[in-house]
Amino acid sequence: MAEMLLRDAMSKALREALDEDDRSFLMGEDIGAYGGAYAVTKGFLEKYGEERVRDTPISESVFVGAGVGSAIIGMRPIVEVMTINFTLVAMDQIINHAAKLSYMSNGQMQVPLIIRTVTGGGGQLAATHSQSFENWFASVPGLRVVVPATPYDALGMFRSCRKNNNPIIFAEHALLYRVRGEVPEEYYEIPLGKARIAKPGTDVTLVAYSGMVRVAEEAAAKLGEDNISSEVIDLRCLSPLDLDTVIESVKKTNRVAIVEETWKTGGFSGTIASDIQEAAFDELDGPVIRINGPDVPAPYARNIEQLMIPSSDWVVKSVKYNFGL
Amino acid sequence: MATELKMPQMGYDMEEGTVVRWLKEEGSAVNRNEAVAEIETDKAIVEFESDSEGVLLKIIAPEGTVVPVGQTIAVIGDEGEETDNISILDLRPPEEGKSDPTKNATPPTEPQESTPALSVTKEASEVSTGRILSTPIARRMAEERNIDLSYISGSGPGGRITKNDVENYKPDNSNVEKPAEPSISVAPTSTTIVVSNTDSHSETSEKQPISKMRQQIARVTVKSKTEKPHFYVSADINMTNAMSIRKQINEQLKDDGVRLTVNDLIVKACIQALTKYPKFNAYYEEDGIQYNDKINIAVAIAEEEGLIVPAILDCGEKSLRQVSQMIKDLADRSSNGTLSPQEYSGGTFAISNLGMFDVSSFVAIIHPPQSAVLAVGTVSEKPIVTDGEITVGQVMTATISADHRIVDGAEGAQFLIEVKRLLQSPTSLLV
Repeated sequence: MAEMLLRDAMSKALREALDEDDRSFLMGEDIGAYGGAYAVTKGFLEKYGEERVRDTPISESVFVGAGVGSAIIGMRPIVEVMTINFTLVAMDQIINHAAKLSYMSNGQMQVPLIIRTVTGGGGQLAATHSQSFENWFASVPGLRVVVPATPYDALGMFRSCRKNNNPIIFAEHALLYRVRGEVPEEYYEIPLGKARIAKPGTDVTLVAYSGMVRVAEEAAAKLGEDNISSEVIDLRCLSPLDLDTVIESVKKTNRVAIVEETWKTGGFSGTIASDIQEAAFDELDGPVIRINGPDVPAPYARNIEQLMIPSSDWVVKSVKYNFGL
Repeated sequence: MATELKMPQMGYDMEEGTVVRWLKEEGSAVNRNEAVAEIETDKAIVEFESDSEGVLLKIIAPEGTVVPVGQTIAVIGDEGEETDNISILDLRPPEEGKSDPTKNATPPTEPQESTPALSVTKEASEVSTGRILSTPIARRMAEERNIDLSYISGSGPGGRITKNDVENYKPDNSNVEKPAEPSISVAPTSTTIVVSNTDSHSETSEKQPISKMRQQIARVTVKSKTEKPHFYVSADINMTNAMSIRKQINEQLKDDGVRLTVNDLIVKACIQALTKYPKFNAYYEEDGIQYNDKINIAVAIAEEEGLIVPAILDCGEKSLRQVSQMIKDLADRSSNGTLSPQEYSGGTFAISNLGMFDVSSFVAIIHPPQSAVLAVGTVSEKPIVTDGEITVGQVMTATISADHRIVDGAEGAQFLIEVKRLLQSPTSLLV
């Protein structure tokens, strides 16, 4: 099985889309001549031409809107918003148009639009460029929110997204592009809404997604040194959410911590925590722990920025304290 | 840096305490080891000293609130410091009908985000006087296994009982709590209970509410008798020489204020015997025998509602005269309620003396976490047979109750015979 970077897995996914489906095209800032802010579309312009790899002005509302419009009339647009921070400019197009049109037209219109975007902090990009808004989108009915943590999942879930007729936020974590993982040559798909047990365990369940899956896995390794066996669950998608896998795990371990990069207030961990205690109250051997970044704008200084992103030590300490382990 | 003042554990079986009165107001300066509040335990009202210095930023537990051990009751820090991020577990007002109705209860403080309030099922709260913190699955498992949660000590935060605690609980009662500190509770003797029940109005069908102290005595005695396999060894001790030397000393040192009691001699004899047999001064714990460096002799003192067993601390090296003074001081202070938590809970060995009643002998219940208690009856004139000759002597019967997990019968006999030897040759108590 070949190993590849998540960046290369995404390039492969996009090439497949352009090669296999004439209706697909890419659109976004700096994706053509520059090759993409994270080099995912390097060489695409030369290969596919400017009809199918379209550089746009800095005008998120306009080109996301163009994506919605072209999706309605039968295209399969793949729009790149350079970072999730810039989706704020296009919120009306995403939430009031992309997410609603199918419902408001009684299904007469479909919006098979994939919005690829880059999420997460940790790169010293300061308060306005270090945010994670997947949880916001996950609270909007009509949107699918896909948050891969491995190259294998990124490719496999993108293939499923292409077959899905709903608007999709496909959020790639900036720090994961350089993560290497096995990706088989043969074709496979990962269905949306099916969580992955990244590591089986018996004593505590660590739920994470996107960049935090690695933090949870590191924490599991550290807890393992103290003979505490962690089960790490990678949610893969926030919408649709695979709560069943989480609940099954909690019934086994009786203890659960949810690790999420974004702010605690309004974090998606709150929704999951609430669902867990409703579904499995009598199985719990302690509070459902939420480990989120603190409610402050991301600082620029590296040392402070690192302090506000949940770390494996933070998870270990919290798990040991709250469960008396 | 703000620090939290937490409800102290004053006695190994203390689960909660009531904040009776704040001695400091919010905003006032507090020195290290300065009393900030009065805390009522099952036993007594004790002054609670701050372990850090600064400004009393916030009182979290208002007067009258019952707070589980280990939970925050106040925050101390620098002037003007924010206290919003201090995490607070839940508080509750005294339970209705169980506490003094004259105390003003304050509603529980809203729990903060990272520390959810814990709920307790009705079943769990009914099994004991104190609130039992436990996780949902621990409660469910305990119910399934028919285990009373009050017998389980919690290893989770704030003493919360977790799944592991229920799983590890052994119903054969070998599950011994590890005392964080020695006990604050009582080493009751059966006779005191008999005395308090001779009320001529006991025919009435009305149910009398059980006082806190009586609940505590009930809990401790049941715990001791179910967990500690008691055995008993008795011996008659010829006190003739001891009584005569006591009389001599009291006459000669009368002007110095010396007034030795028989009990002083017994305490002193026990101190010397414990030095020789330290197992009787030790605690049995699951992971080993905890030998106590110091000898703290607890003496049972009868009170109106029951009894307390405060200890004279670190008396291993003290002379008979000093021991006598310490016991007198202890009795004085127990009657005016100024004993320290350490005196309430620090005993390592206990003596129960019913010599003031005309009883020949009795057996006492060991006071956990101690491992032995000596019960002595009255000193009375009896015939003594020596080499076929009968003389009249003064005799006292002493009975040692000991925990069989830590000592065996032969050791019990050796210890008791040592006490006997010392009391029969009382000059050895003087040097």
